[in-house]
Amino acid sequence: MTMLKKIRTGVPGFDVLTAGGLPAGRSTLVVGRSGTGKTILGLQAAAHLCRTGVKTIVVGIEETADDLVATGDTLGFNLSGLRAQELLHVADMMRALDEPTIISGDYDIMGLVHRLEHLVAQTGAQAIVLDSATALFTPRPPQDLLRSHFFQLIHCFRRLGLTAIILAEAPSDYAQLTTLGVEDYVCDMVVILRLVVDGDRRRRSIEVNKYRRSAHYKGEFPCTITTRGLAIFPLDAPDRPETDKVERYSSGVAGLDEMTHGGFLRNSIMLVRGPTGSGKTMLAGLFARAGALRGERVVYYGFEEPRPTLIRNFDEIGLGIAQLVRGGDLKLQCRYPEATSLEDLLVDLRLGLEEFQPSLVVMDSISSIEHASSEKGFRQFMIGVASILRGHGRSALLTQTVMAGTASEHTAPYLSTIADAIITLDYSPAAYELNRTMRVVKMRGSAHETHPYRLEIGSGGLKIERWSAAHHSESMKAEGQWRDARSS
Amino acid sequence: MLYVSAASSYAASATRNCEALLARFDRRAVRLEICDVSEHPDRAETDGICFTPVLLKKQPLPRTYILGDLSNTAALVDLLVSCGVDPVDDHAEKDSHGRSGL
Repeated sequence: MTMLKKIRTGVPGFDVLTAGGLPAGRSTLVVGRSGTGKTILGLQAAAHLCRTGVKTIVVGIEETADDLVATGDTLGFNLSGLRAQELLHVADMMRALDEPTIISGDYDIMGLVHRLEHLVAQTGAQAIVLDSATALFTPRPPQDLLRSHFFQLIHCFRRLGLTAIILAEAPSDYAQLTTLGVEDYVCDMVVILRLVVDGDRRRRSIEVNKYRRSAHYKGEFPCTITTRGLAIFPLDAPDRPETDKVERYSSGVAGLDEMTHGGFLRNSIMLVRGPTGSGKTMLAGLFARAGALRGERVVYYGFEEPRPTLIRNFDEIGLGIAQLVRGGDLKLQCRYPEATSLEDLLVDLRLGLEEFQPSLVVMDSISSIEHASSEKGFRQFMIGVASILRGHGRSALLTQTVMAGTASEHTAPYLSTIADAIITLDYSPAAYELNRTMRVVKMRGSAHETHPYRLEIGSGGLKIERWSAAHHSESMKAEGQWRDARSS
Repeated sequence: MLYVSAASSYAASATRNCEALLARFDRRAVRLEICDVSEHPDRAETDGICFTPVLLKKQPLPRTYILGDLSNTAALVDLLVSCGVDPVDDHAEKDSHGRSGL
């Protein structure tokens, strides 16, 4: 059996999703409702093919050639440049709307076939993007004729050795694949683009529905359309070389470094869980501050309060955050998850990592995002975040708000998989104050203390120390009082 | 202009149907050209032809396409009549002005 040759599309994530790209010399069908990004995917792939030396024809039936080129140019594909270099040929096949067409008997698609033969001979093209099959077959011939026309077209592409991307309209996200209902049978790969309503939000996804003779990722993957085109998460992250070297750094709190037997590990994701007021944001601030003071670049995503409030609160306890922000090593990004889509947040995060090149990332808190999205949306977001962080080899501290007394309980499975270390903060009420505790629940790659440490919040941040006997009896008393209070 | 493809079985039937129908009309009022797209793809491109056979009426405006092998003659008959081309069996008044270009 010969190996299936593939051609890379350069669309971030697509070549991972499809285990190498488009089937060379075969046809790929891209279906989706209007507005799902079919044309963008087609143009983006066309631009990459041209840049890698595969001359490409784009056949525009829904839009004029100039409109298609303009669309590509606004997304940075430089189609006008590629056209000028004669790597790209855009064929304008839009039909004049003021010229009526009357049907009178049987017909076939040989006119287009001859034109394509001619174009390929002229340009030396090896790939073609057809936008779209739906528009081409309007008015729509009877089903059996349509099937035979489509087959003739695919056969023509195949005979001319063209790697083809055929775009087609889908009537809905999940039911019938295409409006015409015939295209998928004869294409070697079928890709579905979706724009699904998910609670109050819209979520984009991509799925490889079929790929003849090739492995591929199955199921829906989140994707987004940015100012640079389509990107698919979490598959767009580059692979990082594995490293055996264990490198530690300070968490920013002496007691926590002791609990973790020497500080956090590089390239790992820490999840800090605790109820409101347990000191999560403060721990996050201390972590960020320590990094910036070491001369590392740190980016802090605050989802809970506006930037001035966050800076003020930190400075109130003497962290001197404002100064570090001015110095440029610490970047504070405050936003409301409700106001942006999760895909855009992921893109933001990725661009931020590429441009600012931080070594530490803080997100306070992921619960704000959790509350502003559906369970599925949040899960996709977290997997995306983890993949971006790992892809860039960054360390991160994420905080999560939970109910008091439940911090050590199990998290959603995907969250505990993502987190390399889980730290819980909690409190129980004593007679005159709160008994605060911190515990390292798990830490991959490192030994750590398993019993809780005592935590105090005060000027200068957090004080963490071992429980003394005195603390212990106080705590037992407090716990007893608390139980009594609850049972009464 | 009748666009056909020599590679298609519809080419012969379309040409035959078209000629047979035109024979029933005042042939002098009609200028018909037949174009094999396999030999002149550039001409098909100029007129935006994807499907064949297709009869394109260029004059008088508006340009109109009749798609198919013309086995259903009604559409062409209507078109000719609407362009003022007379059937041959009632040529009491000869139409000498206004040629139609197909």
